[in-house]
Amino acid sequence: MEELFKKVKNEKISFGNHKNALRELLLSRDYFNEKKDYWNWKLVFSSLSFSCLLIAFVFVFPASSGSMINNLDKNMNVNNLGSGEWAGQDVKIYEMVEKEAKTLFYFDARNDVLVHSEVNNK
Amino acid sequence: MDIEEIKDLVKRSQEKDKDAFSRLFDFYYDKIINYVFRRTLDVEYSKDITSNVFLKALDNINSFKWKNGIDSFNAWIFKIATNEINQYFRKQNRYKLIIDDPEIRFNLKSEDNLAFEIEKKVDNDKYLIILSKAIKELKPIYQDILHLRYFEEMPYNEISEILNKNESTVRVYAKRAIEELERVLKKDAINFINYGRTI
Repeated sequence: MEELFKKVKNEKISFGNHKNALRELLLSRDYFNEKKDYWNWKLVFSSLSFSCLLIAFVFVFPASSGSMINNLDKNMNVNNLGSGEWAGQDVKIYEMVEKEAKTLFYFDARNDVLVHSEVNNK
Repeated sequence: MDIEEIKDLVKRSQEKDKDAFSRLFDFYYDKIINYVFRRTLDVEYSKDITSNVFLKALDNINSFKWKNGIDSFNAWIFKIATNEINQYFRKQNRYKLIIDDPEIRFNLKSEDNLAFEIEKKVDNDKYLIILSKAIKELKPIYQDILHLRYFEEMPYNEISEILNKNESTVRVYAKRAIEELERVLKKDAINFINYGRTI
């Protein structure tokens, strides 16, 4: 019985140009044009922890946001990107550069309160 | 391609590496489309079903995780293919296939020589029709197992993964499927002899 299966398995069928057409279709899908999902848990955890710490600082010590920004400048691998806008607010933007990602921090331009942060994979 | 190479290509495909996915596609395309064709015996449906298989594989590749002990990507993609085939059969109500080809004749000298006689008397391009017809008379689960075990030569642990049944059940079904298949082939051969006698 196995021999019969083997004979059938060796038969060749032609499917025309289907293989090439399907390959082209698959490789043109949005999946390959989306930003890479890069999940490095150490990175995610450390970025989230830092963001939570900053947010906690802002709520516990609102007056210290200004000095927090100064500390960022001095102590972290942080670049001051200057002024900008976020969600209709005037903000100051800082960028923290790490090995695999950059974290952006947006502080309200008037009162230096942290309003937003985001992690972008490099 | 060995399992380590496949693992690497899958990982890179999950990182949206086009070249890696293209190589994975090239490796699996023939396996999948031939599996689908042997089940459906329809070239156009085979192309449609195969396209669906690879589109679903691409859409879900990020949720795929390797399991130890089996070629789990092989099992995963064949599971998608098996589900697509069975969905096609349900829509078409086409688990059974009737082929009425008066050109296929058997001259069976002895029931013990069944396979030998089939080989002697039938042209090469009829093997697929004869065997596929016989398989299609069996229960759907037997059809799945026969194709995966004897055409795709998969180990029982992979088949159990694809069909979501435990391995000992798959082994029992495989044995029963072969017994049923032999019974159907013998019955078909006798029917063909009787047909030959009437003309």
